[in-house]
Amino acid sequence: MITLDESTLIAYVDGELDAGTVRLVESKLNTDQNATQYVEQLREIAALSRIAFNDTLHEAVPQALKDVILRHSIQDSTAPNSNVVSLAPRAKNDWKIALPMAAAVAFLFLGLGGGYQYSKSTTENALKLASLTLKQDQSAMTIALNQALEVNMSGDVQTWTNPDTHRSASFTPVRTYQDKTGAFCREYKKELVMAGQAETTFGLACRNDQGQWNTRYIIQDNSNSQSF
Amino acid sequence: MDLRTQQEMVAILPRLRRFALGLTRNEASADDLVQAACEKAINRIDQWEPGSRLDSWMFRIIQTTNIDQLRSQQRQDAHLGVVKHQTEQSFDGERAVEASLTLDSVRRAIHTLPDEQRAVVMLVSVEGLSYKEASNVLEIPMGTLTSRLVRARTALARILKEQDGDLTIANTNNVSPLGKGVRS
Repeated sequence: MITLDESTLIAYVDGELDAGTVRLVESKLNTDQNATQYVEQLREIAALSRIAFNDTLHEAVPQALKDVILRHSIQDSTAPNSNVVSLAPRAKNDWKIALPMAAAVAFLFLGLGGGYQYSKSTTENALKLASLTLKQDQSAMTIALNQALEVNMSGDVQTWTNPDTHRSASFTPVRTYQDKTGAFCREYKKELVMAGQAETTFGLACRNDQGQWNTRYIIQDNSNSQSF
Repeated sequence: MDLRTQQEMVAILPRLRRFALGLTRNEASADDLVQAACEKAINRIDQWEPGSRLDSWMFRIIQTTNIDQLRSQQRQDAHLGVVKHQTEQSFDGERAVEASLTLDSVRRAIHTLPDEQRAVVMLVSVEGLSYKEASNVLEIPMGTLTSRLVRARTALARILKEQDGDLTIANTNNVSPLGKGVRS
């Protein structure tokens, strides 16, 4: 016969009992209100403990800490010559691929650089392509942001990547509240990597009745902008 | 260290920091502790058995490093004739929202537990390790683990009951409007 002592109930809540014992405990719990209450309390404390320490999971890890690990060169044990697998996480090669795209995008933003020696058609094609992909990426990012605001819990990251254009973004809802009219508004953090440049912005978006989240304001975080 | 291990180590950094924060109760010391543990881990990566859990192995390094640091600190403190105890309540929270108040009181309650009980709570309740995994990390027998766990939980229940009978989370801060169906 099993007694519902503290250690049994705690092991029950922690999922440490085998199926047979679980059944015994549960049948006894049906008739023991004190024990049931205690189990509920234990569950609540366990859940609160988890949530209480969640902040650390969601905040950015200091770069210095990552660097402790990343500065160690990779030795691939399977390949005698480690040069073969020089896949450092921050692949410097990204620059080489991103640069032409960055140039094209810069063109687009700065207006047409008439003095350039490229043939006209090549330039035009590059611009068209850049403009097209930029538009595509922007609408894909809008969808990803909407998705993040609609379904993610605060702190949960939604990422979006386009490997072809080397653009990526992550969206993290930070805080949720209701405005005066009762509409849900969420603050969010957006980290955008474009043409090798990382950019962090914070925004506030509110939800309309159609489920669209419209950004009401954006703040740029200059302190954190870093190039890759 | 191979690339995959390196990447995994970076990926578990948030959890390592969380465990370290639970042990040290202070963010700066937590990051120092994680940094020291990572350096140790990298230096003796050949002692880690590929395929086994990297997180458990690193939790153990954090735990032993912390104990070493505490011991040397205690020696220093003993020299002064004072043994420092429980520098608790380092979270200067905004006391605005009920939820954060409650979570704050949970954190504070955990902070007041003795070191060895706090480590057990962090591993089992917060990190979700099994008793067996946790007892391996802490290098203590299962019986010791469970009795610490019982003492810790009983103490937490008592502390939180004393503070406030009501532990409900009452704001939308951590709730997605649709995910949890709280739309009014």
